[in-house]
Amino acid sequence: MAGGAIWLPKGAAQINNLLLPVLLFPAIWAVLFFYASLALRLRRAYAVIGIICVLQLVLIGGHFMLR
Amino acid sequence: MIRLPQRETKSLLAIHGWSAVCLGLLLYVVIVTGVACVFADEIGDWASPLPEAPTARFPSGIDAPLRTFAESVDPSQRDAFFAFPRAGGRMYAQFHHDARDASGKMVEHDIAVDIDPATMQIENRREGDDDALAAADRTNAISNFFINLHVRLHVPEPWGLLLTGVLGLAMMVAAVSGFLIHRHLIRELFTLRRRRDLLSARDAHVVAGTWNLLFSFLLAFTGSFFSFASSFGVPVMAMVAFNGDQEKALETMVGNPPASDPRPATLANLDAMLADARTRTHSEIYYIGIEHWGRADARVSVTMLPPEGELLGTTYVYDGPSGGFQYEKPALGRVPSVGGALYGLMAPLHFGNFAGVLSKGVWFALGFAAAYVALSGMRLWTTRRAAEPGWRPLTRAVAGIGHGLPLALTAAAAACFIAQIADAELEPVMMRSFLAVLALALAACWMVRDAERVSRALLLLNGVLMLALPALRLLAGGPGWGAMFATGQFAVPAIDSALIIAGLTCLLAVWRATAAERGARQALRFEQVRG
Repeated sequence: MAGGAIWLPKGAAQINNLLLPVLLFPAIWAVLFFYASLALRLRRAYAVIGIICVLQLVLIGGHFMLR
Repeated sequence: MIRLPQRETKSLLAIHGWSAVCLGLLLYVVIVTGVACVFADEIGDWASPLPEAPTARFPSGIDAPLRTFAESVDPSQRDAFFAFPRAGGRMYAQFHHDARDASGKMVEHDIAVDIDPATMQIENRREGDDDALAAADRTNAISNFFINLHVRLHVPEPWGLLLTGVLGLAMMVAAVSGFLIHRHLIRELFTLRRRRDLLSARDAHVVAGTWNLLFSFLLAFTGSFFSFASSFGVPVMAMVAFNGDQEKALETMVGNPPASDPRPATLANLDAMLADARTRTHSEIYYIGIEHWGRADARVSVTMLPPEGELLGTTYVYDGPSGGFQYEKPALGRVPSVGGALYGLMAPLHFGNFAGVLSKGVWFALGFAAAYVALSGMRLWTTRRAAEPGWRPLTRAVAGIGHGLPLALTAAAAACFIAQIADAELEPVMMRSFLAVLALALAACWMVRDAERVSRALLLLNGVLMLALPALRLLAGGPGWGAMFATGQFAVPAIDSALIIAGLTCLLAVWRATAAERGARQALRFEQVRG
């Protein structure tokens, strides 16, 4: 969710990147929860969710380092 | 018809059941209090009506008392101000100021008053943080108690909000998994077998749940958003985008960043600004907010209720010292945006207040059904495991909280009127009564073997207490129906009537259940005699 502040377009009001991740947080969590719960191969689910998390962390880390 | 492989169906059934078992009772508390909170405004009007109905939400002449109140507040504590009508139409006005205490921790210091719209008298001044203001509130105590229980279970921030946010996620999991495990969605909307056993109890749970699926999802989604947004979402976004500066993050989202000018300047006439706002749209004023009252950079935001047939209202912004109109803006951002529009939809969809009493009535009924689904689901789960001793504590807790919670809420409202008669502090008395009744209900279910009989006794007590509430309101100095009809304040007779009907319904349900049990016992005895 937090990474959305960096990569989502800001829109005309300059707030979409801040609001949309917060607004959609319950849906993002639910999609990841059901994917992990119903995945046939648990390792692949770990990998997919892990990669998404790492990508977000790299984005945030890069954002702080470039500031 | 939804066809899932057996393995997935089993997993979803386990998720559906265990999410309810782990968090179902707390979720039931949040849903039941949410049902009451649909009519929180009306409950405030009912519990503390004024002798005269106000002529408008912001009556003409409100500038003078608000100015008097502002002058009584230290200029350093006038960072933010807001005002809106509630509890009989009294104007609730509050200054909010954040400061650091001796240990460097950020603490809030708020100062609030009520203003009688007929006499323009300032009443009930109180100071402190949010909890202190709520504890000292004498005009909206019952609504505040229900709202606080619904929003954060009376647990301190941010933990209470995080807890109800997790409960919202659990409700969403139960709704989505409930939808996916239906094999025959359309057929199950209408399947109700008339037998008094587990199968018909399961039918009732499935029918109520199926009709309620979309609504439950909507409430869970919007509810978890409201809980997480301030406790988790905004701090995280502020951390990433604004180096942790939450004030800056909020200013950017609201789209109203003031250019700092701390020179003192008198605020222009508020009545004139409110009159101007009314000429710009066909709706009434919802609330007003003022940043930096008494400074050259003061800015007045007048937020309007949505016009008839629309879901979103608008905000007019005025320059504080001159009172001149500056611009129109949506609730969030300076110009319309996808994020701002979605945010604007969250409140009407969660509170159900987009079409007045009609939509509130629908939300109340659907919320009631959601509470039934939560409770009946837990009862099904525990009934199926009745033979296993490990599940007995949960069986008793479900029985105790199922009927004990509504009784405890009614008892808290009754305690509020009794505390008013005794001139005692309202909030602590309500809290003690609520917890004592809930504890007694749980203890009774724990000690008495026949949980069904205890449930009936709790329902009977709730019925009696509901019937007593209108009388207690009158004893506490509340006005009668004649005066309320004469002044057009219909919340009082409407809620009194609803309580009487609900009380009689409880008594009727107990009488029918007792008669059915007696009939079954006689039939059994007759069979034994014949045999």
